Amino acid sequence: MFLNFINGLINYGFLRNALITACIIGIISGVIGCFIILRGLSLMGDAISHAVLPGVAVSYMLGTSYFVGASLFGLLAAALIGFISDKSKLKNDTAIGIVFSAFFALGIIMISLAKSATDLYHILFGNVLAVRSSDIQVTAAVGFVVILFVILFYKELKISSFDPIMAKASGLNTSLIHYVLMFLLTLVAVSALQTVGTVLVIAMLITPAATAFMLTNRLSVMIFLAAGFGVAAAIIGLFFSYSYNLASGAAIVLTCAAFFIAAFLFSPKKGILMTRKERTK
Amino acid sequence: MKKSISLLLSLSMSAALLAGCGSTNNNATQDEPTTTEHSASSSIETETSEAEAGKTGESADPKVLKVVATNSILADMALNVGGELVDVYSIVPVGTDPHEYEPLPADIQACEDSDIVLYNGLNLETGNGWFDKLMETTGKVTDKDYYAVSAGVAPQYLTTAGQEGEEDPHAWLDISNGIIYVENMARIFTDHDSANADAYSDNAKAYIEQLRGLDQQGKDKFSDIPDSKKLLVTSEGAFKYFSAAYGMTAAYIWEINTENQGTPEQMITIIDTIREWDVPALFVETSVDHRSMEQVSDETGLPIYSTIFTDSLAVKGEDGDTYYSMMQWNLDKIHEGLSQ
Repeated sequence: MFLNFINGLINYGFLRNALITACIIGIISGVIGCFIILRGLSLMGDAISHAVLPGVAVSYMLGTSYFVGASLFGLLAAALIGFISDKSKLKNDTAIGIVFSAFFALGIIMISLAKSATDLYHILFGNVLAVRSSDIQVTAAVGFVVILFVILFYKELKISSFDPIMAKASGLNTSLIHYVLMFLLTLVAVSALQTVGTVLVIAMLITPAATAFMLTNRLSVMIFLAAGFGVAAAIIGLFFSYSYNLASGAAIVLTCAAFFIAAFLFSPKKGILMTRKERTK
Repeated sequence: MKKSISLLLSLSMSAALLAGCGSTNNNATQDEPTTTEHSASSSIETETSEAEAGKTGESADPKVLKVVATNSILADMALNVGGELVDVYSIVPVGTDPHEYEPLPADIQACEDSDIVLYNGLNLETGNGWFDKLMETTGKVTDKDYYAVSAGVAPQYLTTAGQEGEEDPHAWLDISNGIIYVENMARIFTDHDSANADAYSDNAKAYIEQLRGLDQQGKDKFSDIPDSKKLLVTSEGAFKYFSAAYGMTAAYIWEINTENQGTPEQMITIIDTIREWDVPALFVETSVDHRSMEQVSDETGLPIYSTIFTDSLAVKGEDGDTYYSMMQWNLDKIHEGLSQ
């Protein structure tokens, strides 16, 4: 069965493309996902992946790349969400709910105005088996930017994620860091959205990072673990998808979830079964 | 709400991959002007209908039949049969998937006011039950207020495991079935408006004659292509009737499911099939996302020769904006592509 998968990789370019893309997405969403869950922004990825819809319609009308339009609207949504939760007493999740549903609704109406012969929703819902080589390049470029940013600003990201008040007091521009992070999240969400679909975006952003969170208390270790889980889920998920003819995106997401369940139950430090044992000792 | 629907959809699709008769993600809904085709305002393009327009002009009866058709193809046929005696409203807009659709207020109103509702049947509109609900809401009765125009067509069945008993809806892609649709419409119109029976029957006759000519052309056309090249590769398996009628074998990535959650096996099956044949070109439907077919094209090194029409006509004024020209386009492009 495993040989069969290797054979498939050798014979079929689409499978190689799918594996490469899923691995890159696994790494970058694992890395960015760590900061997202530490900052309590888990729903942000989901919100952005839906808020890009008007961008798709605008890009279609102007004939430009979907990536640009989608990213612009994703950023606009992120900025609006930040603005609303800053300037009002509403919590972040409320701001997210208001903004992304409004954007999504706007997208629905704009798509009907765009009068495309192709159903534009299809653009939004990618399939990892239909990834083009240009998509891989864009995804890789996004991955490069994300990783470079995390390496360069690791210390700032760490302080502001764990102790925002302290970070502010020590003179860091925390809101700038927040918006740059949102910018990267948007890039990741949009590239992942176009290549692997909505379900996968949110799962890849949150689940590997959450799994890593169950296993360690150190941020650096967590980031590497999350990226590793992302890649492992991509490979194992695609393997099962290929061997048993399952939808690829869903197989990858379920593999992520299986990792999380294992960590949730058996993590030496935070697993519920393990801690219970300690307690009974 | 939309979000949860799309999520649910994607989830159920990925879980089972056979969630019934095709479905896109949330459907685009278009505003009213594009969906309405008033016989008075719509420019009638085919030569047939021009001739008819003149013919039916003589009986300037102010009482026109209000006809609602579920999609642009049926609407065009109805217009050809009814001429100026009917007022045709098309529900699903051009470019939108008829499998799954969310009726707009104007659609419901048009159904309320209509004398006749025409739908394809063969599971096309019943994918998520929008049509049944619409008929129930507006209090319509089957075979009295609304009719399946595919009645009398010999159905083809799906071949995907678990769906073998289900009928394939795309019967109109075989023009001889299109002719059955037209005959049915003429009969239905006559039942509701017997005073104009002759006009309907004349219109239908002239239109059918045109269609028959095109059908014959199609049947003759492909004899100059060697059998080893006659593989019609499309994204969705909508061309079963078409292929059977015009002597081709249909190959596709997914059978009936516009949701883009393909599986590796689907990709491998289509790629291997293409490699076994001597086929020179691939085709992609106007209404689906092209990425899956582009991937197949990359993989096999074959070009995507042209887009072809399935569930919807082209936007008014472009090639393929009537049933006749859409079928002519399909036949011409597929012939050109395969005879390379």
